[in-house]
Order: sequence, then C-alpha cells, then structure tokens
Amino acid sequence: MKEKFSYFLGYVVLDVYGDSVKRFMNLCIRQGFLIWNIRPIEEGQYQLCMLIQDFWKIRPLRRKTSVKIKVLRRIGVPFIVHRYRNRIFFPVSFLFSFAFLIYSCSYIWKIEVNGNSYLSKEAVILYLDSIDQGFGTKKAEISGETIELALRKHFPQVIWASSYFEGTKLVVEIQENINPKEETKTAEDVCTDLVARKDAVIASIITRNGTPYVMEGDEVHEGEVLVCGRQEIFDDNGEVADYIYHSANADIYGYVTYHYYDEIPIKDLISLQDSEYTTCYLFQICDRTFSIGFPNPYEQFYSISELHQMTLSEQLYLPVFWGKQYHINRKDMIYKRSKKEITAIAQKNLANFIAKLEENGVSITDKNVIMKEIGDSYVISGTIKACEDITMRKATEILQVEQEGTQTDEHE
Amino acid sequence: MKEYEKTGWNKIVTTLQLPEDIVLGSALLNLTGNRHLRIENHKGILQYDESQIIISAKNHPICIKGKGLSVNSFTNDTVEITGVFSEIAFYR
Repeated sequence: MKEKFSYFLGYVVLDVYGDSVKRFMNLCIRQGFLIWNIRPIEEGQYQLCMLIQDFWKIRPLRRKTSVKIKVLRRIGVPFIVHRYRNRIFFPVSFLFSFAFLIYSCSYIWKIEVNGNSYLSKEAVILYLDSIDQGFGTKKAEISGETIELALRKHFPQVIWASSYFEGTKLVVEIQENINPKEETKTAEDVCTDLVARKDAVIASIITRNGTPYVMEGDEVHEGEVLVCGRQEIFDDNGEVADYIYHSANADIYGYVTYHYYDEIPIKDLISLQDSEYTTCYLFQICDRTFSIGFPNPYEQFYSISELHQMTLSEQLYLPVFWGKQYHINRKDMIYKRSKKEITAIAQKNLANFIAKLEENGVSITDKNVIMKEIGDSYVISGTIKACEDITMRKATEILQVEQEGTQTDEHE
Repeated sequence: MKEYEKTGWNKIVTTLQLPEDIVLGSALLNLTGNRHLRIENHKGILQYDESQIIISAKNHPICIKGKGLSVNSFTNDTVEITGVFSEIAFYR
C-alpha cells in the first residue's frame, strides 16, 4: 500500500553493491522495510527503490552485511518541497490556483441558450440575471424549476423550457410558439365576441359566424362589440326563448387614423471619430478589472473592449477574462443641418414609421404630413390613414333567459 | 518436512481440506501467463540475476528461470517477479 503513495512519501533509488546484497535485502524485508523495483546491474550489484523513512534506518543492516550504498536519485514530494523551499510562492501559487479552480467550479460562469428563434439570447440572459439565476450565481442556488417557470411566465412565446449544468455552464433549452395568434383563433372551446381593437370606421365586414352589430361605414370605438357570439332564438310572440353561444368569426377591416409627430433639431451635436486610438490590455477576475498599458490620453473618447473567457474545456469556463481595450479619440461639434438634409431625415423617419405599420399587416390608404419650422427645429406632423384588421376577441357575456312562472289552469 | 511426513500432518491437512499455505506455511505461487509470478510465504532471495532467481521457501527453494527477470516488489510476505519465464523448478 505504501508503494502506491511512495511519490507523496518520497523515495530514493539506491545502487547497492557488495558480497552480501541478497542478505541485505532479506534483512531489510525482515525489518519491515519496503523495497521494490529490484534490478540486477552486475554480479553483486543491484538497483532498488526504498522509502525515505526506511532509508534512515538501514545503517545497522549495511554495517552487518558490509554492502556499499549509493543514492542514485531522490524522487517524491518531500524532495520537491525541499528543493523549492526558498521559492515559497511557487507552491503557494500552485495551491492557490488549485483552490481557486475548486471554488470557481461551484459557480456558473457561462450561460448558453438553445432553441431560441425570435427571442434573443441576451434577453434571456438579462432576465436570468434579474431573477438572480444568472452569471456568477452559485450552482446550489440555481433551481431548474424556478428558471423554467419564470421563463414561461415572463416570455409568453416560450412554451417549454429546460435547464441543466454542463460543468460551470448553464444550458437553457427553450422552445417558442412560432405562431401564437393562430392558436388563439383556433381555440373555439370558449365562446367569444369580436370587439374593436381601436377607434375606426368600418371599411368592410364579412361575417361567417355570429351576429353582426355594425355595418360598412359605421364608426366604432375601442372595445365596442362588432360581431357577437350570442345568437337569440325568438318564440312565436317575438320574445327571446333561448340563446345559442358560439365563437364569432368574421373578417372586419376598418379605416384607422394614426397621428404622426416628429421633431428634428436644426442644430445638433455630432461626434466625429478620429483615427487616433490607444490600446491597453485588460485582465478581469469576476467583477474586478485590471488594465495594463498607457493611460487614456483623450478627454472625449469611444471605448471598445474585446474580452475572451478562459476555459479549461468546453464545459469548464472560469471567471477569468483577458483582452484588449481601445480608446478612440472623439471630437464633438455642433452641426447646422440644411433644409434638404432635414427633409431627407424626416422622409426616412416617416418611411420607417410606415414600414413598421406595414409589418403588422396594415395597408396605408392616405397620408397627410406637413413639415414646419418652429424655433430651432422642424416639426413634422400629420395623419396617416390605414386600413387594417381591427378585431380582438373577448369572452361573450352569458345571459340567462327569464323564465316566467307557468300557471296551469285545470279547467275540466 | 520429515517431521510432517512422519506425523502425518500432510495427510490430516489433505483429509480435512485445510489451506496448506496457512497450516503448513507452504509457498503460494500465483502465476499469470509466463510473465508475472507472485510468491507468498517466502523466506527471502537466495540468488538473483536476469536469467535466474531462487527464492527460499519453507519446504524447498523455488527456482525461476527465464529472460529479463526482475523483482518488482519485495516484502516480508510476498515477492513479485516479472519477466519471461521458461522454467519454474522446486529444489530438494
């Protein structure tokens, strides 16, 4: 057993020669000294390994057997410690690194998000940080169930989430609902009305299911019922006998007016980027950053950092970063825009606004936007008329038919 | 040895199926292929070179012949020998 730990206990490789080497070895084992790797070199000369603690006790045996002993090599931790006794920082730093590695392995230093298509990785990581389940959190404090529930609750498009550890990396697997709108439309187990999403004038209405309450050209307000899912059944007297409930289904488009407002200052502060820059090297451990290099000479500057994370393997990320930081000289100046430039900016902003509307299925029918110079800026305002689907689902109000007390006249 | 034979110790041990290495102190040889030999209950090394090792045992010395023989471990109870064995003999 000692032989297994011989490196930690320290051992010597001996060259033993003389007339009675075999007797010496037999006496050694009788005394309980451990010897191994015995190799014959020549007649009466052997090499063998012996623990350092036994080596100090073999003097009487050596005298008795008249053998000569030469120490060939010293191997093991005690000799290394002795050799580096004057270089105390080497073993201390080695131990510190080992302790740091063990300590940092109990934390999360990398988050990987898989399965996201619309949801960005940064959004998930920021949210995990906000609920104290993100970067730098102790593994023991991270709860997979909490992450899964929180992600599903905070991001409605996430229909499934899972999380697990891979070394010091937290892997978050999510699955998104690609087409959530269609799903809500097909949920017909609940009786719903179609109500107006916003104020509009009805452009067209095609009802497939339900009772329409509006006609083409009617002006409707937000929340007004357009098509009701409740259908009335009348009796012979023209009174409501019963109600039939089903989900309303209709294509209703309305003219909606959007108010547009934009303000562009004539004078603006612009920053000009210079070609001059300085570089310094960054070293970061957890939250502490150390920079090595020239101090930043610029008063106004942009700063760009490139950081790399230290990894021992694909799973073992450490909270140690290194990289470069560039300080780029910046000059701020006040710039006066010409009317042509302002018109171009205004047109660009308006085009972006319209493009955003059109992304949501809105078709623009008319726009009336004017640009006025007011004080130090130009104000662009006006209205944009658009035709779009204005419906929104709302649960149908359930009404009970009033039951009149029935009197049975027993006339015989 | 003669004493055991006269007193019939061997017969008793064989009849009762007792372990001979414990009761009689016989050497116990554990041979793996022709390259590794472990001998228990030995009494020391009598001769040792690369082609021949003679180990003292209670009843008779054991001679191992071969090529490149070496003693890997040598303790009070066991001796482990490696090499390419060609012959293992028990001397009287």
